[in-house]
Amino acid sequence: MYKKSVIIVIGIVILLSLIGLAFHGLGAKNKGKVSQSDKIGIIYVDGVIIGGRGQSSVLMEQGGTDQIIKQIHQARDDASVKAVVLRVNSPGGSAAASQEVGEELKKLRAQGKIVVTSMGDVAASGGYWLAACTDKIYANPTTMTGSIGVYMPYANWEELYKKVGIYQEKIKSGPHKDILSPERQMTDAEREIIQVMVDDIYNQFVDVVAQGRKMDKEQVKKLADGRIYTGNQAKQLGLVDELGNMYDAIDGAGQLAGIEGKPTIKEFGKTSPWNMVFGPSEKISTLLEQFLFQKAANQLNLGVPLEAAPEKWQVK
Amino acid sequence: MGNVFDALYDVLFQPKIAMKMIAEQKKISQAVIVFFLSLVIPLWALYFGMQDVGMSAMVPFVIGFKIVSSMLMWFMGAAVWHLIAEFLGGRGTGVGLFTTLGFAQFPQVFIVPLWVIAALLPVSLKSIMMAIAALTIFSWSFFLTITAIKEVYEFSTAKAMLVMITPILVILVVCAIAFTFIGSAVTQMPMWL
Repeated sequence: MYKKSVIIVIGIVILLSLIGLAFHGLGAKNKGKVSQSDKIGIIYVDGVIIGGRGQSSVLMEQGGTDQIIKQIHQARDDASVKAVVLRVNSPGGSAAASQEVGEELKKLRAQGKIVVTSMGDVAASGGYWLAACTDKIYANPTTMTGSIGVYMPYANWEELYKKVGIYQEKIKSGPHKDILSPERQMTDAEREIIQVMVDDIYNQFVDVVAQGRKMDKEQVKKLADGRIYTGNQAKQLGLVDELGNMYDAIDGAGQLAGIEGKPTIKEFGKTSPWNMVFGPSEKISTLLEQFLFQKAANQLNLGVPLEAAPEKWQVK
Repeated sequence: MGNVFDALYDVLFQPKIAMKMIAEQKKISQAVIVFFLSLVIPLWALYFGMQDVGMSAMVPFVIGFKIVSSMLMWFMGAAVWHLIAEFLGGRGTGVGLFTTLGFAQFPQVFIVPLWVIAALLPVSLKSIMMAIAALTIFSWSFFLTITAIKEVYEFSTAKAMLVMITPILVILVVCAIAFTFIGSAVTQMPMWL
């Protein structure tokens, strides 16, 4: 009976300690913060904007716009996130992927969340498309931005293939099925088809910028000849709202969302320990690519540029 | 030693007698309950400790690792130490050792009140107190593990310590040999830069 009493007393002490620890932990979490319900989410857009899931491994996926869209949905579903800062460091990418993310940003704004862009080194082309879909744009004076336009790369290796002795025959279901093939000259009709498509995407891009920046479409077209601008120039032209870094953008987002004091930051897509251990490694993949490229260059030595492979639509 | 309360009291205050009795009675269900309490309660402290220092992202990883490694250590530790003890002439049973090792983890529950005391101390003393608490609990569990091996196999303290450190020594030797071979292989490989 005595032994039982001692153990029960120990149990009570441990139970009280657990409760005390829980309260202490919660107190420390809340210390110096305005409120747990006032957060600013940060979503990073780094590198070329490409659709899909990006790199994937057994437990993790990273890169690709599917991940960015997933993070936008997380921010949308988190009631404590009042505003989102989109940190863009991208030279652009695929038109469809940029459009997909841009539409999700518009939906996020429609849910009542403030979305502010902070431009890093580069936020051009597709990167600017995303920025144009947000409430406010911050850029550094030396940020490279703009590049509003579309291009479709095409290479004709016909003469080279003849010299090397490569001849490819195709059985086609229609005359334009092998449009943009590198082993033959593009026809005038095909050039017209492609030009119409490029113009269509360009007009969609201009519409997004005109709508997002509240500018006249003709005014946007004057700026959208594909050239790049510094953050400073972009501010003067109305493509950017404020000059400042990411922390200025966070403060700005806090003000727009009505958050008083220092806002609490929630980073989406932050690298977790699982990601570190089991996730795809950019360094390893880069090294592997370099290694394979070196091997291929040494062994094949055909003199055929690897760029002969078909390229995707790109926004520029 | 009728019930789990008596067993726990004896583990804390009369460990030698307790470990002998536990090994003889082989109450596995009691050992499992004590082991899981000894695992879950410190994890609670760990959870709030990590939240406090802003390591929330690491919480699932660390807690998952702690649960899996503790269970593996319990099962595999009992198996490996029993084999070594038999090689050294011990007469105890594997189940007896397994049961006593479960009870030997019990002092870990005291990490919670000790950390609460540490949390109430001035910042300068906080980390020192936490380190002392962790070291004390580790030493206590280590002492109980040695006592368990001693009492289960009727070994001397030196022999019990030899049983306990043999797996570590083997791992160190295997690692040293492996690193020697890997090191010599790496120097033979062409460099790809």
